[in-house]
Amino acid sequence: MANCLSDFPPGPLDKYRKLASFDWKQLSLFLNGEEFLNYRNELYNEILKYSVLLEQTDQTPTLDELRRKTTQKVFALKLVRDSVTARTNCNYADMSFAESSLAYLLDPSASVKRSVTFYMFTSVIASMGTERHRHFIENCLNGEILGCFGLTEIGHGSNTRGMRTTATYDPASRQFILHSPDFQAAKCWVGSLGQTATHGAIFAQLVTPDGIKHGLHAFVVPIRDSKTLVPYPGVKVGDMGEKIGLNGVDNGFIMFDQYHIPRENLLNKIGDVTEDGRYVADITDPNRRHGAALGNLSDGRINITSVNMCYLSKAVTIAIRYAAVRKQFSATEDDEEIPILEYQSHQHRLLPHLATFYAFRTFCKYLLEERDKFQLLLNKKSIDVHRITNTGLELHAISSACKSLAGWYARDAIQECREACAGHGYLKASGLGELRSNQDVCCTYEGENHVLIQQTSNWLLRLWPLVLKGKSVSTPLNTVEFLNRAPQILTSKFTPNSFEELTEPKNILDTFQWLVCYLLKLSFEKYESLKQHSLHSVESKAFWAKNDSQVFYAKSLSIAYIQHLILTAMSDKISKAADFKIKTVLEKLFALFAVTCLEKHIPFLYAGSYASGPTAAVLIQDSILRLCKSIKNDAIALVDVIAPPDFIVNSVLGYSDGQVYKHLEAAMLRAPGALSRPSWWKEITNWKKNIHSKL
Amino acid sequence: MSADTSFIEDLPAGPLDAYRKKAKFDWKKLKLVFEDVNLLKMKLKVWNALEKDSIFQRPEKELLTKEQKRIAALQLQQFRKYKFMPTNGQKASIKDRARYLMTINEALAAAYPDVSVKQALGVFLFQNTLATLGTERHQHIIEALWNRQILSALALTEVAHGSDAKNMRTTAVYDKETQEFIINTPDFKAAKCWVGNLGKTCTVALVFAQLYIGDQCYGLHAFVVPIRNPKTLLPYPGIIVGDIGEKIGLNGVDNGFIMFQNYKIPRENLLNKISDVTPEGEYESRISDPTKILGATLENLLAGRVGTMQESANNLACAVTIAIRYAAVRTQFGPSNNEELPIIEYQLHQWRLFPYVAAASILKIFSTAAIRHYLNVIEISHTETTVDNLNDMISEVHAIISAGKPLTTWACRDGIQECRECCGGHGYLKAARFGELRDTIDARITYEGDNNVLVQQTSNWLLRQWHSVLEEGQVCSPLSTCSFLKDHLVILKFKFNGSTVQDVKNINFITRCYQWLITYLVKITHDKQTALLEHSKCKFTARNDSQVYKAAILSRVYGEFVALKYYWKRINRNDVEISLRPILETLGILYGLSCLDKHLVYLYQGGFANNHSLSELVKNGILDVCSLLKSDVVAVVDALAPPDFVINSILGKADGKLYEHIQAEFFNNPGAMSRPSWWREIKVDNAPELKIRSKL
Ligand SMILES: Cc1cc2nc3c(=O)[nH]c(=O)nc-3n(C[C@H](O)[C@H](O)[C@H](O)COP(=O)(O)OP(=O)(O)OC[C@H]3O[C@@H](n4cnc5c(N)ncnc54)[C@H](O)[C@@H]3O)c2cc1C
Ligand SMILES: Cc1cc2nc3c(=O)[nH]c(=O)nc-3n(C[C@H](O)[C@H](O)[C@H](O)COP(=O)(O)OP(=O)(O)OC[C@H]3O[C@@H](n4cnc5c(N)ncnc54)[C@H](O)[C@@H]3O)c2cc1C
Repeated sequence: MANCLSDFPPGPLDKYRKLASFDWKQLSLFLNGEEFLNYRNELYNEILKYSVLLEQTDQTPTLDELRRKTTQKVFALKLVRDSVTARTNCNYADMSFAESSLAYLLDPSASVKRSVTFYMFTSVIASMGTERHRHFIENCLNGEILGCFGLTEIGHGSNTRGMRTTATYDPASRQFILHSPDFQAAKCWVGSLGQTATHGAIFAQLVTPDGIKHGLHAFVVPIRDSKTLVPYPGVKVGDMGEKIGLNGVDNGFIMFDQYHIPRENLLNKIGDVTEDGRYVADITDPNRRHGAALGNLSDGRINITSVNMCYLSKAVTIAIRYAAVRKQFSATEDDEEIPILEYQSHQHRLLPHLATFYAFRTFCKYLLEERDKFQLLLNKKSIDVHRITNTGLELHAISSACKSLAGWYARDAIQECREACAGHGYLKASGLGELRSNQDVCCTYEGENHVLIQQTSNWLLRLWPLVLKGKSVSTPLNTVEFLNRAPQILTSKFTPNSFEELTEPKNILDTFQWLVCYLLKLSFEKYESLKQHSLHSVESKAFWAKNDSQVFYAKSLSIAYIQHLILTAMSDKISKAADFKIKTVLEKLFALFAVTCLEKHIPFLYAGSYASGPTAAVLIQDSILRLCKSIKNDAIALVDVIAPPDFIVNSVLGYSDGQVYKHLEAAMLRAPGALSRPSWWKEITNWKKNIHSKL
Repeated sequence: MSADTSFIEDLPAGPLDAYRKKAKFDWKKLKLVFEDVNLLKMKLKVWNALEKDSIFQRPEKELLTKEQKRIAALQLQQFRKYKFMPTNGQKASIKDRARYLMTINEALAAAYPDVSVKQALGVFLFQNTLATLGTERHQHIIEALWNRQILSALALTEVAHGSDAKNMRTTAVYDKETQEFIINTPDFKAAKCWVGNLGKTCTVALVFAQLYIGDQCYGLHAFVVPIRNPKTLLPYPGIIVGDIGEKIGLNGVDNGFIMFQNYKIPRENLLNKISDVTPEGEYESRISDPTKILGATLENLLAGRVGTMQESANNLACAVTIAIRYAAVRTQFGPSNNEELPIIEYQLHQWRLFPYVAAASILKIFSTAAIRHYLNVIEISHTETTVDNLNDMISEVHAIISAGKPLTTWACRDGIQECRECCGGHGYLKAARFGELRDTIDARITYEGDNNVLVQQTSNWLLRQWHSVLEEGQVCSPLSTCSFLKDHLVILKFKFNGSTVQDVKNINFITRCYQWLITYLVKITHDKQTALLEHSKCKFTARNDSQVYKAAILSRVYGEFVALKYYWKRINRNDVEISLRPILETLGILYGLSCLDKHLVYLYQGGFANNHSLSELVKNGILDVCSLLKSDVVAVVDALAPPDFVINSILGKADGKLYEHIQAEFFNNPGAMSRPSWWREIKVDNAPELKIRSKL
């Protein structure tokens, strides 16, 4: 068995640990697999070799100092990854999740910065460039040049078609001339651009000498001299200053003033400009070219899904361990005080989030594996273009929804955990504040959630006409195979009458299939009817109909679709559990996640006449409470399975020894200057001399 | 008669004008519905003064937390010197005086939350407690406070106990020989902590400790405890006092911890209005009228909570102002290639934001009403005459505020987050201000009574009312927030039989829903508790196990209902011009429907709606109202918004010149365009020469 799982130090958490109905190591092994655990262990041990990664500070440093430290960590983390991947051969899915669960939790800023500096830059070049750009990739991965990824502009983010930076080809000098017409067209938010990047993968409108615009294309653009870090003439580049979180990352803005770069720096896989200035491209349709130019953004979204879940796991680790130790109130004066984990309301606030992690854990693995298979397909340059395209689209639909949903789940979980730790949760040393500030942005970058999730419903809506025509629906990843039974599903009814029936996996999946069919049908009908009765001009009818069908029902549709997929992945995994105890606890978590999701859809169950009478609503609520109660005694062991190592938990409330008060005491007394007078004490005692009113 | 709005400055022209011109009402007049004229003038006076004061200039660069503490301390001292109180204010009634003080602090809180927390705890709440729990012998402390000679702190919370005050373990043992109290902290878990101003700056604190005479414990009492020598700021021997370190937010406040070791204070430092210890060591009660005791104790708790409600409503108003102004200027996508739309035009965006504009409007008026009721009961309890139902009144005000504080702080939390996300990437800039707003509101959810614990007070009160309905057929609701409960038999038979959106888009429908919901929820909570009690024989367990989906929702629904009730009352007062009615009603209905949308489950579960279209009608109702609001919403936030200086956000300025402000921010950031000081650490010497040809 995995010897990488070591026991926890004894302490106040023992009481609950002993109550657990299963062996946490067994569960960890089953859930994660040996390969993952070994890889994570290697990674962890490697991290421990770098002193800069081990530094912990009680006090927020200045922005400049933070940037400096973060940059050092970026290089350290890169070396860690290089050396571990070189000596282990771990599959992509496990490796990627392990990175999220360690590096991203250890230092989100450094991990994000590492990602843009080395991986995003190179992956744009790899997917859109050709042989002539290979040296950029090599130079970057060797750390000789530092990259960044520049798409967003001040005036345009989600609407990439509206980007206004131009790259005009000048046949005389055989160069592209990059130009930002005004401040609104400045590239901004570009991670690593603020202070450090020497090169950027920059997206701009390609313009040929005849004045024709050919849409967005990516260029490799030198920004700073790597020996002096001084920007080249013709670019005005700067740092955006302080943000809510991720302050270790130097997000920057840049404006080009007729800035020349070599013709060869155009990443020319989808389109190229000849020396004499003619545009040549395989794809002639500009719309399709736009899609291709942005390349495959699913990867980033799939990763963010895991990262969000790891953020969530850290928050619930802290809050649940604290809840098991923190006591407040007793039944009568003579009784013992009660751990707050025992309160129904507290269980209900925390345990569903724990279940969320478990549900996503298997889903993430599934998704990362699918992503990996897709990459193989691409690498093989397989002739089946059709299949490649369709797989890409389905992955896009999946990742657009799960990235958004994971972001919202993590956001809500972190906030609830923060509140659940009440006063002490508000200490910086609880770790929850920074977690929140760093996670927050996951709802915005790599596709703003509310804009992104529309992609999923768009994809689904294109399938519904097949159903209406009675044609078969078949997609490469088989995520909506059940649409073929849509007519029957839509006439089915909610049947469960008891807790057991409600939480039975098959019934759960049936209910979600009904939801997807129902919401898809409604979204489609709403869209069509809006379009038909629209008073807008012919060309904009579809645009408005799409916008006005988002609240109802497209957003809910995307959510239900992805929840169904997550539940399917989890139930497949559970069916493989041999150990009865493990199976039982996972079934409870499955049910808790499922029923909590379902709770939000109750009005649809009624509106669609799937359910009627009070039973459904009452049953769903009662089941949630019942599940919370029955998971409560396992909660600490379940947290032990998903908790990062103590050094990465890095929270006085959440260490595995449960010695909350000892850690609190140490933190409060240790803080530099905690017990001394402030250096400016005289300004207070002599304040009458210092301060003069102007009134 | 039209209100005089001439003292309100016009807003600068700019890109927001397009929407401003569409508004069907005068925003200045609307402002005077949200704000009381005189109090608004007072706030403007405060803001004008601070904007000109160099000590209140906002720092250009980020400050280390210890520097933030210093600045906040200096700002507080400066602030205390201003004389904002109207000249007749000193002579005003207790009620008016208190209202002025609250308003001054409210103004401060909107712009400088840290300083206002320091002031509220160290001056106002301290003074309040001394006035209500102390006697003549403490008068000199109050005077010193007014003379700005001392700054104080309120120390209740301990490391291991917060919500559960009864189990606090700090002791104050009376020593007959020396006529002193000896204060002790048994261990670190009993250290007082989180105490604002205690970390670095206060010289005296009000400490709550278990009073002992011999072995007999008399429960928690308040003591005035000297902490630091005012001349040197060094702590006195016998105590260990320190700062608790960095927090998520409010880092200008020096929250501290303290441990006492046989620390002696004079007998007179006990606040002895309710009970006293004689020099000989006899414990005696001084007030026989229990309602007065209740009143005195609650007064202290409530003052902070109503203040919190108001500040949160203001913060929400600030957040929606930023997000709405941004949404009206920011364009993204469009129906054709050459036309881009302001994101406010998207239904989805309206759905995300507008309900919070409505919430800010309703909650602002609700918190004003809550303050009025609070001040009323305070005034009555300070008069010598006995008022018959004072006790009931106090309980009801307590119930309103115990629901109102969580309702407002949570709405504000959700609203700020949504606004931040609605501003996309730029909302993540520090200069957008959402980060600070969020970190501040976050603390309010916990302090002044943890929300999840506080809501239980309201449901307990409602359950008592229900009990008396069942037993005696009547309710004790002098403010008539739940007097309808006596008609429960009729109410529970309400059914929804509407079929069009019009049937839900009106206040009658909303009121009926709420009355039904409250009655239904109080009934099922009661039934559940009764069943649990029979089963477990333990009241405590019965109460705990009937919170989720029952008692907790009950409090929430009640809070929303009361908020709407006061809002509706306000907008129907005759000082509200006809021209304002439509917009005010629209906002009220939007708030009502968007809250009800979250409670649909109960409407189905309890049989109020068998008609399956209810959920659809409610949702369509919200969308309808949102699209109606679109052309007015910019003017609504103009009415809600404080001046730019207070909003302090580059995205939310009244001139709407969004991109100019972003540009100025980026270009003026110190060091924005220079190499980092540590550039040598990352330069690469063996980098390949890459072709780069600039135009030079
Ligand atoms: C910390 C951080 C790091 C980043 N790093 C990078 C980077 O390295 N490189 C890079 O290029 N970019 C980066 N970004 C930018 C990021 O990708 C953008 O912020 C993101 O794409 C959203 O775009 P936006 O900010 O312009 O928001 P907008 O597109 O302006 O959206 C604003 C609001 O309008 C709403 N909205 C927009 N369109 C619609 C619609 N059609 N229907 C309904 N609602 C709509 C959105 O939901 C959103 O709430 C970063 C951002 C941040 C905050
Ligand atoms: C910024 C800030 C400033 C403060 N300033 C002061 C100050 O000046 N003076 C002072 O004395 N204190 C101060 N406090 C402390 C504050 O009053 C306490 O944090 C608050 O009372 C909550 O107590 P606690 O933190 O001990 O939480 P706990 O009571 O330990 O609660 C922990 C969690 O358990 C839950 N819980 C507890 N009991 C129950 C129950 N019966 N049923 C269901 N759930 C339950 C709560 O909801 C909470 O989520 C401050 C706190 C903060 C954050």
